[in-house]
Order: sequence, then C-alpha cells, then structure tokens
Amino acid sequence: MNHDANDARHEMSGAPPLLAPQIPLPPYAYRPGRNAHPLRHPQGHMFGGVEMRPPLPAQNAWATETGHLHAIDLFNNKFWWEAHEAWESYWHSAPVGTAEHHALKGLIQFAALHLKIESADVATAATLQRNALQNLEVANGHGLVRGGRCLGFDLIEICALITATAPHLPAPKAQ
Amino acid sequence: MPMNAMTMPTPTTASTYEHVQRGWLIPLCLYGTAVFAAVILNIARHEEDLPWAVWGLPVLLLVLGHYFSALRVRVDAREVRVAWSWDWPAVRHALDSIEGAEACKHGWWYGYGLRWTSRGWLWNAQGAAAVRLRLRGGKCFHIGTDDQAGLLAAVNAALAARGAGAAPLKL
Repeated sequence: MNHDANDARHEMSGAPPLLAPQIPLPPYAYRPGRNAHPLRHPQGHMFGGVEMRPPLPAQNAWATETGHLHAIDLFNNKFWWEAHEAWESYWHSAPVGTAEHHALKGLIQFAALHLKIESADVATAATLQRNALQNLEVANGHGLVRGGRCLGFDLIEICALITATAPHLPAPKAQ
Repeated sequence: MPMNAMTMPTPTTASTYEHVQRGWLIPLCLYGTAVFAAVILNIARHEEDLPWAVWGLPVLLLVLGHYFSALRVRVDAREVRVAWSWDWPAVRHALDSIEGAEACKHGWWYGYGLRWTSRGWLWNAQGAAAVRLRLRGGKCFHIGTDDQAGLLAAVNAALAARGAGAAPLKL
C-alpha cells in the first residue's frame, strides 16, 4: 500500500497523527481466528519477514526511536498484535530487570489485553491487566526512571489508561 | 497528566453471542388447538350461520404457534436482547442495568412461552434450564435456553468488558 492510501485510511480512523508516517501501517490488523496469521500464513502481512532485534536506544532517545514510534502508531490504530510484536523485539534486547524491560513487558501486555477483551476472554484479560499494571509500577519505581518517564511515556498515565481500558474486569484468579 | 484530562476510551469491538433455541411443544399445542378449533367451527357452520371472523381464531393460533417456535438471544457489547421468532418485539436489557447473571432451573409447572413468575419474567421456548439476569432495582428476568453455559459465559463476559475501550498512547 502506498503512503497516500495509508494516510487516507489512517485519517478516516480518527486515531491521532502518525508518529512514524514513513512506515506504512499493515494492510490488516490480525485477529486470531478471523484472518491470516501475519507470520505463519503465506498470505500474512509479515510472512517471510526477518525477525528484528533492534538495539535499545538510549534512555532519553525513545521519543525519537522510529521502531518505537511505529509501535505506538500500530497501537493507536488498533493493530494490537502487531504493536505487541514491535515492542517485543525491543523487549528481547532489554536487559532483564531494567526499567525498560518491565515497561516494555507492560506495554506488550497492554496490547494483548485489548485482543483478549475483543475476543471476550475475560479471565485472560483480567490477568493481563493486572500484570501490565504490575510491570509498569515496577518500572516506575525503578531508580533509573526520572520523573516517572520511561520509553518516552509518563508511566503513571499509562497505568491510568490500562485501568480505564477495562474498568469492570473481575479480579484475576490468584496465581 | 491527571486522569480526568485523558482521552476517554472509545468502545472496542466486543464479541457477539447469538443463539436461537427452537421449541416444538408450544407450536405443537397451538397448531393442534388450531386444527381442533377449525374442525369444531366447520361442524358448527352447518348448524348455524357463523360470522367469517371466527375463522380468525385458528389462523391466530397458527400464527402464534409459529411465533413462539423459537427464542432468539443476542448478547453484545451494549445489551442482552431476547426476542421470539420474528425478532420483534424484543426485550432489551442494557448491560449497565444488569447487576449479575446466574444459571437457574424452572420446574415444568412454570410452563413455556411468556411467563410472569414469583421470581420475575420468564421467556422460555422449551426446557427447564435458564439464565437469570439480576437487574438493578431488585427485579429479575429469566431467559430459558438450551445453551445455559454458553449464554451465561457470554453475559458474564459482556458484563466484565462493559465500558472497555481503547485510548491512544501519547508521548
């Protein structure tokens, strides 16, 4: 799809402006069981692609990191699975136990939470909501995070968004 | 940023549950009564002059038999909707008006069709299994179903996901 068509489709969606307009949005948003798996299906929009392991940007460079900005675009345009994949590539590169590692995991779970709500999988959604909040709270409490910002986000704001996304989910079962 | 300044989530597309239960007992009774009425009227018309309008009775029974032959239940992100064969009129309960749902059973003496019971309204095509919707204000509405587990799961999932939405991330 060319950039013009991509922009027109995005403008119609009502989502905020693209942060990385140079990277087109995928032709469809993957929904498990409803359309082709992007990686495994021959007609998937990521089929045959090479798995990316981008290096982590410096802590204050996330707001200009193209791959991260594209992940936000994917999320804001309801490409939940694709956004989760994009953040997961950074998460693999993030050292375990760091604020970025926890924050990226929280974002991945936040994206997955939307998928589970759409598929009415309430139990999994409740668990994802709790885990996403826990990971972002851990990241927020990390000594390296200055002023509650990590990956360019205000983590307190993201936590509030996660709660507001599904305010009536039941308490998840104890692990 | 304070919570009240954030963009409110817009509704996501939730899964929809739809199930049609077909019953045979109500149509059988009403069709049978219609045939019986038609036979009686046919005999009676030889003895006295009947207004043609009385033939509306067996027709009405046939129509009602068809109408009450199926119960259609739909659960989506906004409401639980229950209607008979023609999908109209329907009773609708917004998710916000439902406090909870649970499985229940009714004895045969409650009957089939539209029933007002001591436990609230019952719409039942056939069978004893039902799902009770506990409504705000203390009232209840019972939906007879042959997919009790599926309907209960759908209502509970819709109740848990109500108000769910997606708000954009901002740097």
